[in-house]
Amino acid sequence: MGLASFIARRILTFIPTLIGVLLITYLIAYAIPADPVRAWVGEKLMNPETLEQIKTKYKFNAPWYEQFMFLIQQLLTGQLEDPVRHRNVFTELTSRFAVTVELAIVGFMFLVIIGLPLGIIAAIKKDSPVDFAVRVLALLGSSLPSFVLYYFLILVLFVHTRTTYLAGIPMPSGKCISDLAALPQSVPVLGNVASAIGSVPMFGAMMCGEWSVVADTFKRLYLPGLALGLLNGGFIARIVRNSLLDSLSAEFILYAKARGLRKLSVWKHALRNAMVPVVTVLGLNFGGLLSGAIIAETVFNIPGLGRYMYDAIMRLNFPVIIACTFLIAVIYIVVNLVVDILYAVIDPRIRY
Amino acid sequence: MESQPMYLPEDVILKVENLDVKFYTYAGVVHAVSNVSFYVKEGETVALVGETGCGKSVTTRAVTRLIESPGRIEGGSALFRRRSGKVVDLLKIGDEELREIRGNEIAYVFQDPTSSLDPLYTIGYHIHETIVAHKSKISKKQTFKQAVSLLKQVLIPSPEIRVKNYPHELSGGMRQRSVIAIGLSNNPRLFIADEPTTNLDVTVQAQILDLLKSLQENYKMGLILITHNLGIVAEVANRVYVMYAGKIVEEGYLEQIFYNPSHPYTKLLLRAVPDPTKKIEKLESIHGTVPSLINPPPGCRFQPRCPFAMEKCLIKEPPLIEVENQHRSACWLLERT
Repeated sequence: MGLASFIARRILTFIPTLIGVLLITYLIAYAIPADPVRAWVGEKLMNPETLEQIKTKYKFNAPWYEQFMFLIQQLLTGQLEDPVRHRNVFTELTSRFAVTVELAIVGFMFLVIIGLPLGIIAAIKKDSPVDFAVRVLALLGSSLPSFVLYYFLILVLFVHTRTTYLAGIPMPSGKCISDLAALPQSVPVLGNVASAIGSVPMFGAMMCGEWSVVADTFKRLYLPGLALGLLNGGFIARIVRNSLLDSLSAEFILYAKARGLRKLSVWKHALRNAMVPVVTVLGLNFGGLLSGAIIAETVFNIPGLGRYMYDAIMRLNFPVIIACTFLIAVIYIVVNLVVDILYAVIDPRIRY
Repeated sequence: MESQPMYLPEDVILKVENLDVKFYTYAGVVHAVSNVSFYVKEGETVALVGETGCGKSVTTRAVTRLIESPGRIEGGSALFRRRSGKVVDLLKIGDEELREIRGNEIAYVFQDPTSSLDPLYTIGYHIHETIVAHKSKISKKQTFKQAVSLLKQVLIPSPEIRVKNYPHELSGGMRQRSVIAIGLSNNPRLFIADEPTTNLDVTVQAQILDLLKSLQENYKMGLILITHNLGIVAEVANRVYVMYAGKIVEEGYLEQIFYNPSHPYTKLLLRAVPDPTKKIEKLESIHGTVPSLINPPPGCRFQPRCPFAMEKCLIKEPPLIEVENQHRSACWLLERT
């Protein structure tokens, strides 16, 4: 019982959610009045036989539900192929997702570094200039078109000062990659996990001790990370501020002072009580970052999930769209589950 | 001129004089407490009585400067005899010294135990941090042991289990008792209980009152009891201060107040207590409502509701006039001319 049964129940609800998400996405894509096969093949190879071959393979002549079932079956058996690149979708997805994970981590770092302290300061100095600045930042973050901020940052930090670069993603050395890939053979279960984590270039480099690669990754990704942090940091700061103000005005804070607690202990009560809404928003933001920042990855030229998705949408690449949607849905579901579990860690009133 | 030696009679723990508290709200300045003076002796129970909003809680909170913005303590003094024998003015000492006194020498029980307790921490942890805040070298094991014995003292069944409970896992009565236990953590010299029984059943109320009384005898502490329930006052108090609209309108020993009430407000309050031996046709009440403290009525603040109001009451505010020894009342009816 308890946590285990809660997780089991939640995992059961994943199934209808995933089916629903995939179905809706597919129907929207299907409803587009265009011929995907032509978009996939390209001008050069366009001849009637090839087109017919692909149409048969993807069951474009059959009703929509058969096409859908075919895609799902391919997805679940791991055979789904990217008809444009002629590669297994999952191979491509893994390397793309690894890059997005890096960006998400850097972006999330900035989000926390910007959002939490600003929110706390804004709460302490309510209605001060800092509080006002946070309000403006939150407003700008949600109303400014993101690319405007991106190009502005590129102008300042790349064009004028060259503190970063905008091509490629630093990878660990070839020896490191093959070492990590060989891990599952030497250590059974743990090796698989380590190898999976190591497939994110930054983590792989850390595991091999190649710290210059890690530093390079930060140099490459700090600009988009900063941009993503700035976009959502104001919003996070507002949430932190408001929930901290709520908990600071709670009776138990006055009571804590009446008990003669030291300042630090009083703050401990206030901060922990302010955590639940903050964890929710941070969790959802992290989920959002993991799903790939489409515009940021396009502007900053990062070969991540967002870019992959963008390309797929532009070429009506149904199999890739379905695979990406599936991955994003899984990310959101897992992030939500983790957030729910964190609630119980923070608040003893929440039990499963 | 500031360095006058602070004097307190031997047996007095707390002496508050001319306390003034104002709240600066958007609607205007609320003069919540004006010119309130009272004292508490060792081992004595003092009751502050009055309707909701008359300034009872604010008065006691102001004593250790627990008034938060937009409230401000505007004047007065609160002399307190520390455990060491040193007399300090709580309204003037430094923050750190004040912190050492709060929760250690002066303990509070706030009105609502549910919102006083942090829902994220166990009862044991509350006691633990209250002790640790005032004693540096003490292990968690020791404080939890102390917590168990405190919970036992306030008659909580199976304290070894309850100490690990979170506030939401306890009943209202147990929460109330836990808060009292937290208050006793450091053997305070003065215990301020703000409506400690308001949210409870009558039977639990009686238990809590008995508990407070016996604890007070054991610990020889001064007790300030804030309540609007005169039945409770009759049960436990030695001396009574009746407050109305931010002022003390009558003060005296329990018997003096109950058998010889001399302020019309006290008289009406006592008449509003239902007599269980008689058949009650209609509950007595004092007509009218507590006046706004932003624009208090001119003269005596009770004058708009007072059945005996005279012309003088509209013009001039009555001072506290001696009725008998230690018994004073702020009413022009007592003026002997």
